[in-house]
Amino acid sequence: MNDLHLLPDEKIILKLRKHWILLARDTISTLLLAFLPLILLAVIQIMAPQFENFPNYLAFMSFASALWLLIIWLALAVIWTDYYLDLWIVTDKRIISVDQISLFNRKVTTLSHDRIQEVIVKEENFVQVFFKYGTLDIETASPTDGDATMEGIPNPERVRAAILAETLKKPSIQV
Amino acid sequence: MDPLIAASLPLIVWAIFAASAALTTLLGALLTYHWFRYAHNPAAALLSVIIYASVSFLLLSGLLAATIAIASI
Repeated sequence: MNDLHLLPDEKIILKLRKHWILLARDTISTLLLAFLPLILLAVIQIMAPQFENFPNYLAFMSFASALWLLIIWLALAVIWTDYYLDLWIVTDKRIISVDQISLFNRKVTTLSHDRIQEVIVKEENFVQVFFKYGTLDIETASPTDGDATMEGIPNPERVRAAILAETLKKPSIQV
Repeated sequence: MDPLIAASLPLIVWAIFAASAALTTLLGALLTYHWFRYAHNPAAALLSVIIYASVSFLLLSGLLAATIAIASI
């Protein structure tokens, strides 16, 4: 069913998707575009009423509107898929970040708790503070793992606390 | 309307309809693959397929009706 293979004794602590407000923002802005044919009809009626005398004007406008709505629907399906397949899983052993960049472009990153050095929470504007979501920057000690950034995380403070709680259970790295 | 455009109009709208139907089907197949391959919840994947197919069918029916209306001019 999915490509994430957990270890036999691995326990999932948190499973997170981006905050719903990000999906709502993208969905509403795309849905607003669906009204473009109506706006176009109104503009034509005001600016160039002679076009309404064009033979079969309504049939052409219906065809164009139906085609436009279909395009909007396809865009919505892709937006929802991107949202649904973006996932972060915090287990008792590691953090798994799944980033669905586009169709057939998927990035799965894992960070071991014993490599985590610092977890930074960023809530950078009014909307993020009001809806309680933000960015989580995770800095690791490993030169190969690199750092991880989780954007649009709901309740980032709670997530940071959960990550730090798991990290503190692990033995520290010996230098 | 230019007689040449008027004559080829049915062919153009049918070609646009066929391309739209093909694109919708192809994207549906790709999305279905993603939902069933990567989603953690089979019920959500199945529900997504049902909603996508239903809405796409409705919109394509509307486009077909408009296509027939133009082609029969």
